[in-house]
Amino acid sequence: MKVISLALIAWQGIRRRPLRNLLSALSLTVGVLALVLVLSGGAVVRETIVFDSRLQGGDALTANLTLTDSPQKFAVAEYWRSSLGRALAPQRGIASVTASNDGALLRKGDETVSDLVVVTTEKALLEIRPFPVLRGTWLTDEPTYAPTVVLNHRADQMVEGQTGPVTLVAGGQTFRTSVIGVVYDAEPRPVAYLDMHADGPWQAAIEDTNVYSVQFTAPAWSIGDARSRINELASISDRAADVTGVERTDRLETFDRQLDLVNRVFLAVAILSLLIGALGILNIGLSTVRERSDELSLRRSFGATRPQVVVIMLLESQFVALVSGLAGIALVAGGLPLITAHFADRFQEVSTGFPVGGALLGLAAGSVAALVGSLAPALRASRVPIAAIMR
Amino acid sequence: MTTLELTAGAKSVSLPGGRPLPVLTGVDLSVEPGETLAIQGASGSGKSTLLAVLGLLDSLTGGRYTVGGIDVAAISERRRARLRSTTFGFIYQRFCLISHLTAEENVEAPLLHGGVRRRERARRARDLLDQVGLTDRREHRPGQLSGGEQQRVAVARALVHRPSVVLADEPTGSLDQDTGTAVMRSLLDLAADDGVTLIVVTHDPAVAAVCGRVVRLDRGAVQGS
Ligand SMILES: Nc1ncnc2c1ncn2[C@@H]1O[C@H](COP(=O)(O)OP(=O)(O)O)[C@@H](O)[C@H]1O
Ligand SMILES: [Mg+2]
Repeated sequence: MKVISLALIAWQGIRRRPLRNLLSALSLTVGVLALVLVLSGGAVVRETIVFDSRLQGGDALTANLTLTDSPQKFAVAEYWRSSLGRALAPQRGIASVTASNDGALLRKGDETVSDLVVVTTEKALLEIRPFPVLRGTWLTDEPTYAPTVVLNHRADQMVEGQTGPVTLVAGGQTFRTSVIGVVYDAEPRPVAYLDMHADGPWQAAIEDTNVYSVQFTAPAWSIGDARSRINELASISDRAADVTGVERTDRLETFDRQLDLVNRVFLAVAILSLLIGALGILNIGLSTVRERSDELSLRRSFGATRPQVVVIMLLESQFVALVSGLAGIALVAGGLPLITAHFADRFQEVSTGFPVGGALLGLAAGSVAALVGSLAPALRASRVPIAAIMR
Repeated sequence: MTTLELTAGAKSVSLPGGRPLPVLTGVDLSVEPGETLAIQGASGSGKSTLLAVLGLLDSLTGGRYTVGGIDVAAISERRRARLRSTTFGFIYQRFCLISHLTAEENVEAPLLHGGVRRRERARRARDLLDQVGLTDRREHRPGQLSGGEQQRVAVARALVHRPSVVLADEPTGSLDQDTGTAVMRSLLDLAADDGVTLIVVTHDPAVAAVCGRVVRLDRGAVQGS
């Protein structure tokens, strides 16, 4: 007997109780859905989070050495940058000076960006936080006479559509700037990056309220190593008073832990609902065997062997699994772009391609769950005595 | 054409507790091709069991049974399944149609198991439904048919794969007199057309009267043999 005939018989069997089959398909669908989401959505979310956290905090280990406010703060920062830079050279670490300032405004046309952060920094920051450049260029070392500015995506969005020059308002003065580029830095606030080495009056206007820090990457250190080396350097040169704190900024590990937890919860949901689906199929299957004993005897009288009866019953549940699997995948296909869009209303490339691997695995998982649930009923069905139909 | 040859056929079933209950006790029966045979007997005398043994739905616990010269105890389960499906057609008192299939699909079912191609299946099923007068009920489910109509579908199903023997267990037992007569009429006609052997278990003297031979069972043995 051909497999196609067995499949046709199984398909006819599905029509017997459409609602019941639909319900057991439903719980399988939830399982498949959760599984595919873990496998594909999880990857998209992870990719996004990893990407953002690298931009915000750098790779492992990245830390910020914050410095005490003093009249010589620029010189202090320069000192620490060079001495940390020397200490980090053997492990290919980088140190870069950053001054951030909350007291300035940005204007373009009618728009005023008031919660602006002005970050005065160096070209080297890009080596620690690898921002994608959306337009123009990142800071260059070219000397300039007007403040050249690189905006982050937030600031750029806020002044979008406005015409006229971009001006920086700081310390009661207004400076006309030239915007040379836009970067995606994953920061939620608007940021204007200024070149530390470009000398001009705007520097003096913000200098007073600048908070200096040295950001550095140290691939071979733990945060503890970094702290003790900085203390060592401080005591040798009698500069302990310079240091306010050393804080780790890379967040990959923390994110990873959280993401891992979320994935585990999803996976548990997936396994649980697949299990419930399998139990549902088992329950329906066992009660069905009694109801269908006439049909089963008949089919045996038509020449079906016991193994063929098993195959028919297993195929019936595989149809249910297939329907659930396809429904689950369709839901993912419809829902994934929404999830991706939520996490990635940014300017980065997150792979939004259809998760073929996850989908296949979801189908397989649904199929296995259905198989597990229908095996016992199928075996029982094959043992229905043929002569039972006479009574 | 197939001769059925039952020699000292015995069947006992085991009761709960393992005690054996004899149901058939040495039945000798030979059925020639094309014959029409009625089996009569009191309820519980073993008629259905005999029919099940003859149709290879059940096996003997003693004696010998050959179908067309083949000793059915000597062949594999697989070959027995094949012999059963090619040689026999069955009709039951409770009709036993598959409730989720249409009349036409019910009639096609034996052909589907027999690996007959789709077009040929449909052709043969329609042909037989025409012959039992159910041309316009093809798409109806058993639940939408009367008892007589259901049994006519069962008649069509029993013949669709062109068996050489049809076994009917009280085919009119669930029908009123007139309906039962009509169903028997079409069964006899169709069987006669193809030279099919017909073995009918029946309580109805009118049915027995139209059969070529009557065998009476009494407590698992053929009476007067
Ligand atoms: N599988 C079985 N288990 C127990 N008793 C059985 C079984 N099959 C048949 N019998 C018994 O054998 C006797 C004959 O049964 P059956 O062939 O159905 O009789 P009939 O069809 O003539 O009414 C009955 O007493 C019945 O209870
Ligand atoms: Mg009976």
